[in-house]
Amino acid sequence: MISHPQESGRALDYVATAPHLSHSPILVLLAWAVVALPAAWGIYMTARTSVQLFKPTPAAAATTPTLTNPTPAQTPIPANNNR
Amino acid sequence: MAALSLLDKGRAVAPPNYNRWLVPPAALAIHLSIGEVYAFSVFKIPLTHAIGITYQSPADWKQPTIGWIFSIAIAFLGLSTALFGGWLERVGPRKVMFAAACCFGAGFLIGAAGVHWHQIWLLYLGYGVIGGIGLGLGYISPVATLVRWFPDRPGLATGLAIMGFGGGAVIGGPLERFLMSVFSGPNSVGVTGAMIVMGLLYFAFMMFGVFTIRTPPPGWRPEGWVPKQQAAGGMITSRTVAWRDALKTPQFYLLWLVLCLNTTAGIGIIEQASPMIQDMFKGKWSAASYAAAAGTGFVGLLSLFNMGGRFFWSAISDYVGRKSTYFCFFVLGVILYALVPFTGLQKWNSIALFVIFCGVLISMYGGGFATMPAYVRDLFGARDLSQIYGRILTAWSVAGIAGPALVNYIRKSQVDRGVPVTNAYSTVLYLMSGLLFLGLICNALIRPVSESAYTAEAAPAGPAPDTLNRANVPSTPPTQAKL
Repeated sequence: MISHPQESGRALDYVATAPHLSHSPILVLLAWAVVALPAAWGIYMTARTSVQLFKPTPAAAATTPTLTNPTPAQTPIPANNNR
Repeated sequence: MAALSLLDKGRAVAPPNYNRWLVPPAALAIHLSIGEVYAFSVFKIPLTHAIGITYQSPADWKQPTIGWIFSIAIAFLGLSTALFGGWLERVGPRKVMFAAACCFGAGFLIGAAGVHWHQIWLLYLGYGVIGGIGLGLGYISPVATLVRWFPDRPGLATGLAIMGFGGGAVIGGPLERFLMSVFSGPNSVGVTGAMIVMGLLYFAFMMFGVFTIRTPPPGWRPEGWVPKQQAAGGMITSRTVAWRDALKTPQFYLLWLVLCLNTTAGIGIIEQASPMIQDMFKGKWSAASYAAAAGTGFVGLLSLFNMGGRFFWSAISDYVGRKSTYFCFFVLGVILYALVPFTGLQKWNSIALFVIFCGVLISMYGGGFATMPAYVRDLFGARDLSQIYGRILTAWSVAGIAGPALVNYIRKSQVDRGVPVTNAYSTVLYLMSGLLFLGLICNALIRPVSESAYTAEAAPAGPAPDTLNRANVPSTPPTQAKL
């Protein structure tokens, strides 16, 4: 097994070897699995969180939108909202 | 230091018949890690309670103070891509990816120290500066290698890698929430422990990419692929423009503007996504907690659109061309940004339409990043791709500061003038539409570079040879089975 081509000065000579380990489709699948599994976990967790956007909630009382203070924080802060 | 010789450029050259589909996972490992930066906002609120724990004490950091951490990181991302593109070409991707892993991991650890000792400058230095350098090194290091492995499908290849950057937030957000829940307690919001674990995890994951990456041997090309000769006036060159000459072409600056305008428009929405949906539909939810949950859900959806768009649009560009792809971004973007204000509570009152419009817009934001390397390669060739693309990425630094600043400042000025908060985003959204119209013009002006810009040396017919390994190209180039 060679790790890089052998230079001959005329052309590159590639030493014939047994099929290289990098040929193995299993190795390719394994490499993809290493990155695909955490990505799949993240996609699943994110999709699960995204569903909250469309979850029915108790209807708000009818209101006319009014001027308020600057945007509330992503989670409610009990006091001292200094945003 | 024999171990460090494993990082040498020559040690990363692929053996004959190497399966090129082993290379994208290496790139993805890097990009899935550094893409966490888009999820850093998950730490924002907890960091404002780092001392008070259950409330924001007077000694706690304010949100604008914390907001600078992200901005510094993005600024240093752009700067480091510009500075280190040449280094990447000299030393190869493996060494640069290793440096990226060290910087990104160290950024988390130094940042964790900053949280523990409540020293904001350590967060700025750690996650911002050092982590930002890691972001830049990690961002560019696999891209040129992928373009060389996939000269027949550069959009697909770069789309795969840069999709990983969008996917990094998809992983990083839930991971941050999970780790904070593990490490939080009566005396801690859990950020310190979460950052330490994440620094170590990401370093290990990026090392998988470091030792998996390979560069193609000199003269390699996919079996059966013959590079197309550039048609007269064609947008895809088979020649080379040296990076110093590229900087003198109008095409470089037009590409810079295209990326900056597309990014500014998108990043402004990303930074404000959660508050924006809560403001535009204020009153729709009966409790702040429901609104906050909807905001979180919206941010999650946008990250999925960002991720998917990077792959989708970049892969499509292989068939329709880069200029046409960006034409689509800008035309659709002008229309959709102008329509988003109508989806709010006081007009169409449609969350579904709002989400769809924003999702498409953010998919095109991601697509703009993923398609740009192939656009650069089309115009300037592959040889100096890292140096040229690295300098174009400074547009991201500018957009990373200008986009959120524009959105925040204009929104605040609208509210201060008495505009209802449900309508406070209209002006900024129309402004984004205008920016994208400018981008449309810049993209339309892009033409093939002039003859004088091309280097005088004989053009390589295939992928650029390894510049440090000046072996003769064999008469029968090494190929691999058609995939």
